[in-house]
Amino acid sequence: MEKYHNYSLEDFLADATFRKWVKTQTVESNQFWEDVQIQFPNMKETIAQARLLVLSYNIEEKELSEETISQAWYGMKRKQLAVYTQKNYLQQNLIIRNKLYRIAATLTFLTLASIAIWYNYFRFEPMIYETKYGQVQTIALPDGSKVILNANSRLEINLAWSDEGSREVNLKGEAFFEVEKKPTNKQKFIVHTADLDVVVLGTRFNVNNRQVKTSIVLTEGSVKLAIRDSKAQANDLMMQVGDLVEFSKADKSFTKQRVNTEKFSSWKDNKLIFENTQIADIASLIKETYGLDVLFEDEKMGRRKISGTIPSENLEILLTSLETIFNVKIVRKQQQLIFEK
Amino acid sequence: MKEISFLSLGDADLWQKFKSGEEEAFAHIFRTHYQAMINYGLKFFNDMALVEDCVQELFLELWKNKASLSQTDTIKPYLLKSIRRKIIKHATMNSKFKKLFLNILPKEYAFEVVFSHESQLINNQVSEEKIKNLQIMLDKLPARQKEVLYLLFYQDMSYEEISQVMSMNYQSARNLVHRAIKLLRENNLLETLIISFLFMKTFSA
Repeated sequence: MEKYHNYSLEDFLADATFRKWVKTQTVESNQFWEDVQIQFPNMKETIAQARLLVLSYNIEEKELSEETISQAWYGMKRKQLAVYTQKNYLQQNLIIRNKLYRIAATLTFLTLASIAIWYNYFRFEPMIYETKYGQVQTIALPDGSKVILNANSRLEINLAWSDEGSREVNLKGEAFFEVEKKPTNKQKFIVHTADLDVVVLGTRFNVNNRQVKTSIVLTEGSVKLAIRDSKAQANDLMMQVGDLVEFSKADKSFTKQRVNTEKFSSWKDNKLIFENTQIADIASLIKETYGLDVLFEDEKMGRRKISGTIPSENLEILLTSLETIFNVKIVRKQQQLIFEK
Repeated sequence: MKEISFLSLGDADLWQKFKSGEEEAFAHIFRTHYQAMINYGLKFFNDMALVEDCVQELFLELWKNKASLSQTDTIKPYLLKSIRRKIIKHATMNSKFKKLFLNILPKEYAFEVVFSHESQLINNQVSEEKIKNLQIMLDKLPARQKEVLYLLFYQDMSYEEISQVMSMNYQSARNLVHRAIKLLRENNLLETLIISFLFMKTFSA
């Protein structure tokens, strides 16, 4: 506070604490600045002037949502990778043309373009998103669709999306999709997994192909499942809202049942919903999401069941909840979690 | 995107990670400063599409040249300085030749802000009239003076950082503010009289 005793108006304007107080007053900051003025009464006038000036310089600044910034980031990445095949390349404004070598590049490109277009099409590098253990990432796709990628998963996006063709992504792990409808041209959205393809026309659903089974839960809309293995017995399958379809790699067959869909995608809202779930299943969930092995001091422990909702923002919260519910002690040793009695 | 690990990193470390090619660090820098760069850029040239393009182009150049960029421990001034150069060039140099071969910025450029009359200040102590008059004068200030005040109030910067952004020395940045204040004072626009004291009482109540 001492430093304020001989501050000039310029000094106050550049004082971050002062500016913060002027713009967002709190009880504490009001008290602080009242104290300053009691201690240095000669500063009152200067403080008032500085305050008047800061508040008069009141302009409207653009507030960009996280979504908008995401789109901008993605737009830039797209430009970086795909700029040479975009038809708007030629219409691209002066920014791109302002360097001579770029003009030269354009000319060279034009001569090669017609020959190379088909080639370029296949040469696209896909955008790859990978989440680490314990990390969940929201991805905005260029068509307005949204993907929430669960921990320890990988999503590849083929950047060669055009206005007509289908939109295709590859998934390993687990993700929740909110696909934007494209009613005008019936543009398909396809999620490829190791064994089957989910073909979509605008919908919300969860895909999990971590285990031996690939499971798809449909929250909204409709999807069709197509098995990739041609030797499989089952045919394509239409899913309805509320369906859980599991595809078993072993016998190449589908099983379908009606479920509470929320339970399967609740991870994206940082909670886990259990209905008569064995601890052993939760253990494999922890292994998939956080990469930790779970050991039981007593084998029987793994067979106990729980129902309920547990917050899962992070591992600590999840473990504390489990400890309370099961009345066990969970000890962490490096990459292992040991459930003690 | 959850990038919690980057929040705790200082600018110097973050920049180093970006320079060594970590795309997540790059994304974090983009997300942290994108809005500030857009808002700042719009003051020189009020065309969202052009400013967005300039910001994106700047980031693409940064990524391309990441290895040869110098180390910095203050990312924001560096980014604002770069976007400022880029947009002033686009806004003021109509000749492609100049853009290409002149590496200096023009002395004259525009810095336009739109003052909002709905000031949160108005609580009987200062008349609306007075604020309007003050805003009219602020609006008439030379571009550089308006710009320094903007960087202080809306980009939350110090004179040191501002001098970096505007490529001048510390004292020049201060002088710009000094001149602005002098002009406002000469026009009796900063008269507050006893208001200051009353203010404090009202707000602390």
